Amino acid sequence: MDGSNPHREGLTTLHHDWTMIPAGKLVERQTPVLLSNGISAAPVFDEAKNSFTGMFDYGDLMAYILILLKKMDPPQDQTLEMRDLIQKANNSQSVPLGEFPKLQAVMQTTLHACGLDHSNVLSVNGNAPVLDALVKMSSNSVSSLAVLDDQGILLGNISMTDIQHVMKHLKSSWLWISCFQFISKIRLSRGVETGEDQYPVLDVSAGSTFGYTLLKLQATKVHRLWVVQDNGSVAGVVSLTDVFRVLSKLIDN
Amino acid sequence: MVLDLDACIDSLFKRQLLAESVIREICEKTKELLMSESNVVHVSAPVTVVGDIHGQFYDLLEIFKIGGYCPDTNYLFLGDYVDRGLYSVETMSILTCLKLRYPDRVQLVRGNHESRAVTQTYGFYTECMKKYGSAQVWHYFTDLFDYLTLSVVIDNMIFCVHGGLSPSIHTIDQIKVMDRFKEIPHEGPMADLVWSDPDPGREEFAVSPRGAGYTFGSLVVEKFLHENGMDHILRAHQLCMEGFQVLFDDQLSTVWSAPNYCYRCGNLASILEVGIHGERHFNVFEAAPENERPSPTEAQRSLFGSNGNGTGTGGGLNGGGMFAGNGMNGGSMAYAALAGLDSGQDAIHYFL
Repeated sequence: MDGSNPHREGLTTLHHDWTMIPAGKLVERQTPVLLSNGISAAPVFDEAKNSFTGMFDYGDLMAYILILLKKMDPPQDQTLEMRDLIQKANNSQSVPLGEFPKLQAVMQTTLHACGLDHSNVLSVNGNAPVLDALVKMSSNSVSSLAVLDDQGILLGNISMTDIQHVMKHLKSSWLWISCFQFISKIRLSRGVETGEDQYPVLDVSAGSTFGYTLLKLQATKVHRLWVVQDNGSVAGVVSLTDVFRVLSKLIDN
Repeated sequence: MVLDLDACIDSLFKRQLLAESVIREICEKTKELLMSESNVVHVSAPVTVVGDIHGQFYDLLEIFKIGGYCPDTNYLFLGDYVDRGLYSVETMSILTCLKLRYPDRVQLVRGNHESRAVTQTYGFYTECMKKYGSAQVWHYFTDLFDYLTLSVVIDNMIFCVHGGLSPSIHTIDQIKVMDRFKEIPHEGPMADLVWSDPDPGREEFAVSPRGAGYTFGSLVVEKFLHENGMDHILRAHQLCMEGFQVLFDDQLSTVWSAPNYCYRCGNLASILEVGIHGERHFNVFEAAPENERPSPTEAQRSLFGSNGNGTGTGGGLNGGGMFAGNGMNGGSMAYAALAGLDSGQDAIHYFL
């Protein structure tokens, strides 16, 4: 993970050192900080050392949860504290994030049952110019819009980061091409870098489980996944904020 | 219409586009042929297996030069015929004609790019619009894609598919009973077969970073081969700098047949020659020589004449130096997506 990946908008990709703070306390203490301040990353202050020792972000929290659920391999360079944590999870001892079974139950609930397929989705038509998307994102204070065709079917996602990335290098004439053409160009360039093309639309169906959605967010490294009905129309969106809102209810209970 | 396939093939080798009505006819006839093919086609060696081509027509011609021409050589193409390259139309046209002309000597497997959603994003749709002035040819070909088989088995030993394995599929028989005659779904076994990738660092399945399909590991491969009595999985779908890659203790290979991918990756390509005793030989090759590539004007041509869109400077292409010598860069791939724009627009280059 380097700091320049445009997919990781809003998430810090700075290297962190798990040795700095016992991971368990980290999650317990930092999650409310992220949620209550509506931020996506927070510096970690170690009282014992009286200094800031790293950054904690949603990506870290998600990785932690996935390890907890044994769905992901533990990192190679795990610290003693992390190993302790994994061992605790394996032995089903009490873990900082609350009861293990409750977490499992949430992971198996569908997005529909979690109520995540009824969000008000902000979108732009694929034929509209990129400028329209920019204006809409700006006036609604969002960083991303669903790109839809005339029938309301999801074509893709346009984000502020993509636009900013392009405008750093190129002329403003890009603002007048259609949103669909724009997102195609972004896809074209990314696939060449990796030698692997991504699916044009990063979405998840309303019948998918919460756990699967987490896995897909982690695997594709995007900030949000659009929730779609069977016919491809958009029903909602699941962002990392939504993920932790659902999970924090477990901590509170 | 009386179809002269040999004349069509001849024209295509001369880089001439077929008329729209001819495309319609060959697609109709090929669909009839493909309809009776199983989702798992059984073939015998010797056969030469080709990976992703992505519209790199000149490199397809190179493949015929080094691998032999149809019908002297049996060919198995593993998909991804279109998108990204500049000649997806010519590539798909000639492969369709060859399949129709020599149905038992040419096998065409469906790749993840043989899809309406993907071709609208990655260039084939735009190229069809540019070369034929309408989306009709794109419709004919994408309808044809729905009929392409999903997998091939060579001598009951080598399982060939575009992408990889699926957590929903344990046996060949499960693939045989699927309904493949539709657009590739977002999720499910059909999507997995064309989107999945092996992961040598893993043992099991995991959600794929591509947003469709899965990554799969060593235990999955061993189990699949064992359950189906086979000894090798052959697939494409991922760029290989050396033209091919062998994984999992020679239980799986990736073959990649688009050299210097997107005219800038600088990679080698290969075709895999499978012999009658099951021997596998990767025939590695480089991109076709520069001096055989067309000038920008020729690349711009459409069915309406070489200057069909009044593109003296090239509609969307940078003036001068784009194709000359070593001028190839990522911008040439933007050509396909740019084809809807006025020639007054700047070319967009991805210097990433």
